[in-house]
Amino acid sequence: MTQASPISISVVAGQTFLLFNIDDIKYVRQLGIVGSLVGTLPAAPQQNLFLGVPLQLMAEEALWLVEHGYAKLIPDDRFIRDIYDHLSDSDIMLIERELEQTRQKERSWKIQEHQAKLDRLGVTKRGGSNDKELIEQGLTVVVNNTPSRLPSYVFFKRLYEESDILQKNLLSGLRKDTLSYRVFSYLKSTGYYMAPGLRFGGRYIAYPGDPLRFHAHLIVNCVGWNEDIGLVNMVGGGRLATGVKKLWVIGSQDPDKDQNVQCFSVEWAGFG
Amino acid sequence: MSQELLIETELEDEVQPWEYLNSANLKRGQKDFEKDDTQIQNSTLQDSLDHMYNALSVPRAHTVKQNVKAYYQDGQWRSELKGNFMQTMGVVRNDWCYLTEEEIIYLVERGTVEPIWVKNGQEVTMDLQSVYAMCATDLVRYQVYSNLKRCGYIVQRYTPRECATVRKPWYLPTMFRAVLRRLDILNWFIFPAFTSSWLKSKFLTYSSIFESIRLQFKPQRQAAPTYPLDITFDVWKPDPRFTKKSPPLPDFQIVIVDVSSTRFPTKNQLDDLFKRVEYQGRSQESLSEAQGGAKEKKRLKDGSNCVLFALVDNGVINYMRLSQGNLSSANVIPTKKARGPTQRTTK
Repeated sequence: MTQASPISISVVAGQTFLLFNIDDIKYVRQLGIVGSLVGTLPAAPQQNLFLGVPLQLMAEEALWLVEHGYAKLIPDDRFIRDIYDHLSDSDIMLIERELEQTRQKERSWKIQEHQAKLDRLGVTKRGGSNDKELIEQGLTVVVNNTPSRLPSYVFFKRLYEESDILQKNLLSGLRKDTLSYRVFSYLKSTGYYMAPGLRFGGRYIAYPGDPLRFHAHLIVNCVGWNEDIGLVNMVGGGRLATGVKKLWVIGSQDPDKDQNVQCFSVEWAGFG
Repeated sequence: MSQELLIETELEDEVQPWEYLNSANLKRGQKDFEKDDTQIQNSTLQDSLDHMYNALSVPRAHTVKQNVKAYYQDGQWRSELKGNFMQTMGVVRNDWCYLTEEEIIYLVERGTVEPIWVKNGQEVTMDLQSVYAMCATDLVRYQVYSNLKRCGYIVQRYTPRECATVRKPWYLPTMFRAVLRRLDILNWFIFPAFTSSWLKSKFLTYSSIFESIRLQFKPQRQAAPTYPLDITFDVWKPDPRFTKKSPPLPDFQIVIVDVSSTRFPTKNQLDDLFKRVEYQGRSQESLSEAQGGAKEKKRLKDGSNCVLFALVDNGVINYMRLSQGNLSSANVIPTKKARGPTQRTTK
């Protein structure tokens, strides 16, 4: 699947990057960007193992997508407010009418189903007002993921996406010169799938392919070129990583020489 | 071998294949070590992805009968007085149930309420993205909230309790205190002649000697920390008798920490925090001091005060429990029944 125009990443509360559109989530997944699902899954709301929309991106992931031209950033607080503030009375009537149309479709389908069921059961008494009431009560109310059905959605989306000053402003908050981003994009370029590292006590964890199919290989830490790694860190990290069958990796880059990010891996030998 | 090693990590620590969402008991799915570019590997991966996208695409919906509308007006969310959630969430005022930001996102996200934008008396149904934009001032806080709610806990924003009496330290006049301190120093020189325990004791048993040389801990007075930590949520285990109006003491209290911007709390910050925590069982811990055996062991292990830290890294949450060990209050002096070498068992 190729997408002609860049997708839009919602910037919420100034620093969180979210995707609400399922097609966008599929699209970035094909680019090797996994993110973390953080929303409650309406189909199974009382568990924490499988979560739903929205998908949260690490700042590094958002930056990588924008830098490679796959995405634009949209400041959701302003964007959404603009959409709702510019709703005219006729817009609301239009939305209302569309809603009524889908509801009518569902209603007639439900009535048909009901009739068919009565026929099957051989009930001849028809048309009680009670039945109608029950059908009315059984209609569904849907809450969408995105406001894309609102009339001014496309207009404001384009307005924000095409404002170069705004895009530059949002990007400047992301700081692409940091070591962690360079380590991230280096590992990403070698084909690893990256995820936040808190679960295993590192900056990132890296998977050899889609995390749905593969176990993680690396626990990645970013350490400045002249910074002390700390022997205790190394022993602790190495032991933990080996215990969960992963490698403890430190990535760094010499600031004086313009060269690639260099990575070193530590494995606990269990010697003696 | 790999299974045995990995079994120690939590289910939530690994990304799970979504096929298991539909199976009755959630269990660990089989995953591969690395890519081998075989057809079968590619197709199982595609299967997993399809399951995930299907689960994500299930519409967020409820029936007209269950419908509860929540209106957004003047920066506030209020819902109709309807639905089970009211038992533990929101504040009822003037025939409306007012909801906090994390409560409304949670309820919309799981499909319980319909969010409505009110404009000139007209209503427009909102969507999830809009609700996030309108009220996600602190997404980290919301994520911890919803994680706890999905586990089934009752969660409310922390409010300091009014009924609790704060014990004020009793200050002696400064000069009198200074004199006392001098006397304290004297004690060290003429030890143990002036200590009260020496005067009382006859030193006929080991325990009386132990008692007399036991260290006395005095709580140190400290300056308040420059950046005090805030308790974010009061958390209760699910309980049908729970009432919003007069909630019992919470079972846990949670401090939320964003790992990207915060360091490990200092001793000063922790002491300050421990002074403020209030949860069920805290007062009992100090009472049960006299009880021995397993209970004593548990009391020592659990400590006297405890607070939970929720560490959040880009949507991944870890919980950490910090508590104050109170070894000094343990009754380590052997009593008459159990004392000395006669108790020692040999193997």
